[in-house]
Amino acid sequence: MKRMGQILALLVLALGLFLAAWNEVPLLPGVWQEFFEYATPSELLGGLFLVGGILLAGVVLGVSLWKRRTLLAGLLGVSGGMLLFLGAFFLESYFRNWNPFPWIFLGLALLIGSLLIFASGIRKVPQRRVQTYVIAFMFLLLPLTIMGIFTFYPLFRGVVLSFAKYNMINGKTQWIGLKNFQELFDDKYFYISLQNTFKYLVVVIPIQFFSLALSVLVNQKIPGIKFFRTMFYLPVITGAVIVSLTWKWIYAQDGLLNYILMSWHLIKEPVLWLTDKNTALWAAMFVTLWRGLGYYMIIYLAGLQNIPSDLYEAASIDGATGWTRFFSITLPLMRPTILLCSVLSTMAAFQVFEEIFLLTGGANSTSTLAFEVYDRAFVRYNFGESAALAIVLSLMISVFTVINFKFFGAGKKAKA
Amino acid sequence: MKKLLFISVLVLLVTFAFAARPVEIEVWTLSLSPTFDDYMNSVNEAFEEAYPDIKVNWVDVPYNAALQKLQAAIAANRAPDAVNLNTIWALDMVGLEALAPLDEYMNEVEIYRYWEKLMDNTRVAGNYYAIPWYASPQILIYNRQILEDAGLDPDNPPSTWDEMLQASRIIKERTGKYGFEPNIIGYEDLILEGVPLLSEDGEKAAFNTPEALAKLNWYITLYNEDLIPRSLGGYTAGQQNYSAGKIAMYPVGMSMLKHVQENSPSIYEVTDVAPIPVGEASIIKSPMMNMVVPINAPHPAEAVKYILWLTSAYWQVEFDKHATIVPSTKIGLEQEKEFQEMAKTSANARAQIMASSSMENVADIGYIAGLENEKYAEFRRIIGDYWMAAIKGEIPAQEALDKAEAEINELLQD
Repeated sequence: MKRMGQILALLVLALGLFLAAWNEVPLLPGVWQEFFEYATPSELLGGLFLVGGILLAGVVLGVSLWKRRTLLAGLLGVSGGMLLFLGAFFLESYFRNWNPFPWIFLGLALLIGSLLIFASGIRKVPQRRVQTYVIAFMFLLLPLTIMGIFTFYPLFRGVVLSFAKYNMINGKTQWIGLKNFQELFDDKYFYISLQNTFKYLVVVIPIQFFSLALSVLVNQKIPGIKFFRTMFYLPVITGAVIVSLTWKWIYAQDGLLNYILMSWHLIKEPVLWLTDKNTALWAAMFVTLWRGLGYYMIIYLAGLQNIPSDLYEAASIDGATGWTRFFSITLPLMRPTILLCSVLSTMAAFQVFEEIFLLTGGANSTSTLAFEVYDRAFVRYNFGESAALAIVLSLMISVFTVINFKFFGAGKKAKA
Repeated sequence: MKKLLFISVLVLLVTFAFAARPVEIEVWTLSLSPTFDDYMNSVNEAFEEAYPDIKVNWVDVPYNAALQKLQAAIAANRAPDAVNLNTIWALDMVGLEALAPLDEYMNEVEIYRYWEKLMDNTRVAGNYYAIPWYASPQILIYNRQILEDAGLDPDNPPSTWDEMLQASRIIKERTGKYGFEPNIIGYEDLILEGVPLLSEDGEKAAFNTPEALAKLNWYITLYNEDLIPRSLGGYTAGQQNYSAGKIAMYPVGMSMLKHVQENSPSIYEVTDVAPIPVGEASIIKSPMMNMVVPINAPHPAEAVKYILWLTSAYWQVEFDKHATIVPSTKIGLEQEKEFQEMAKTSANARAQIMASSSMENVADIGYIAGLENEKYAEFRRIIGDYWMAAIKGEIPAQEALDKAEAEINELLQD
């Protein structure tokens, strides 16, 4: 039974690769143009589904032969078969001269094969466990579907868009390969915004430092401390538009900041905080810092209150001073929280948009990557380039998240 | 047999019922409700009386959400029939192939009723994509009190840009206040000065001229001598500064008057209006409101009938009694007795008549002829950035023009 299933999967893999090699899958840009100049993303998806289905047939074979995980192989095979059906369905509705039947046949073969493999595996599993599995998967199905529609599909669609020229009104999508990326790397505004985005990372350090300090301060048990906590959290819950408008007034030529600095004789002439390209980005960064403090303070506070107080008591008995207690107990135990906060604030710094959009509108050399993503999509209607930029941005965020984990996550391994 | 007869009669009746039902067109306007409900309802009622086979379903959309809603509606194939858009949006939508050309639904008699420059604003590749509705041309609003304080004649405000500079110097010296607040948009300044943006074939930048340099140096003088607010806040800052009495003059679209009247009555009392100084091209800039028809509108012919009705001189003059705007039609407000009466007491009406009589030179200069749609935003941005940098003294003026020219040439070659 298992053997039969494996043979079917092998057949699907071999035939699929053979058909793909004969350009039966309209995925490669060259082939695409042969069929039609334009295609909608769902048709492009069709091609990708077919390829995914073929590759999954190979994975099914590999997993069932080498790892001998028959259940996993079976489930993968079922999804592979579904992909082949979906792909055939999408493409059939678009290409008039395209024959979907080989693909439907392959999908059917993969489905039967993987069900056979699955059945051979499930016979060895006790009845009780089968039931548990079925129920567990049923529970997973709904969230997975919802996430699929609202998270994975847009993500996937974004990747597809980054290789295409897209007209949002009539849905026409032209596959243009790497041209979006090429244009991006030729664009001087890309480099300006890249530079600014890296400059913006500077804000992460003071945010971490000050919000940790703030949380230690508001963790004291003195009367009225709740009032201070609320006040520090207030900027977080205030709308970005209101915050930005207020700061725009503070930063104005005849605004509050210039007034204070001039009446203290710190400056002779008013500084054009948001107009001068040397200060504009830093002024926006300060607003981010100011808004972020309360948010991270609350997270740190939760972390602080999770530290058992008997540790401090024991340390006091041993004669530890306030500083020693902080560096030997608080800081090491706060490590996971620091990791969380630094990951969150790094990601937020990479994605900074509201402050820039509302304070300077990207002028005066303040544009950031996230602002450029918006500008390209919704001001210039260049969705392809916007998606390409978004992908570059998310790759950068992933790299920095990994760095953060390496840096602050090391303690966990030592403990284990 | 009886049954069959009954059914066929029923089918016939239903068919007739549907056939006799008037066509319903959906019309979108931008943020007119509730202020102009009465006006719009009277337009629509009169239209339905004149065309009994067309029913109007009027929908007012908030300005900030309009473009998104329209794009979604067109993409979902549920487009309205007639939509109110500003010129930039209309051109963006033409670039997305989202609007229907209107040529086949209009004849030259109908086209002749509107000012040519306004019709040309949205003419792309020989096709008309919009019919102009109402305009808010730029005028010079000024504070008589500040001019008087500076020893200038409040009845003769500056009429050229050079005079603006001279007057600003005097105002600054004698009152310490700023002369005016410019809304600096690099490529529009070039168009207004009659500087060609592109070469004839559209392959090269053509704006690096002595005229462009002169305009840039004019700004630099204003900036260096601190005659304009150095934060260069443009439109929004000008609105705040004028309303607060911090600037003497404000070149701006005339609908700003209403804003001043409502929000700073004391400033409005000393406010007067004059024609805006024009550049070499003798063009007066005006943001325009247009009516367009989406590419997949169900009833385009009926929609154009409605648009011609809504934008007719009769209904526009009527509209202008309620709002500080002027008509896009060649029949203007200057002939209207009622307006001449109103002008004796109201600065708004004076401004309207003044603007209406110079409508021949009014254009919405958002469109750059010969430039591919997708390069448009980049084009604006490059010129704008260098223009601003030169004004703020970050780079010398000539170098800014040279660099902008080089970058635009690179952009055009891609």
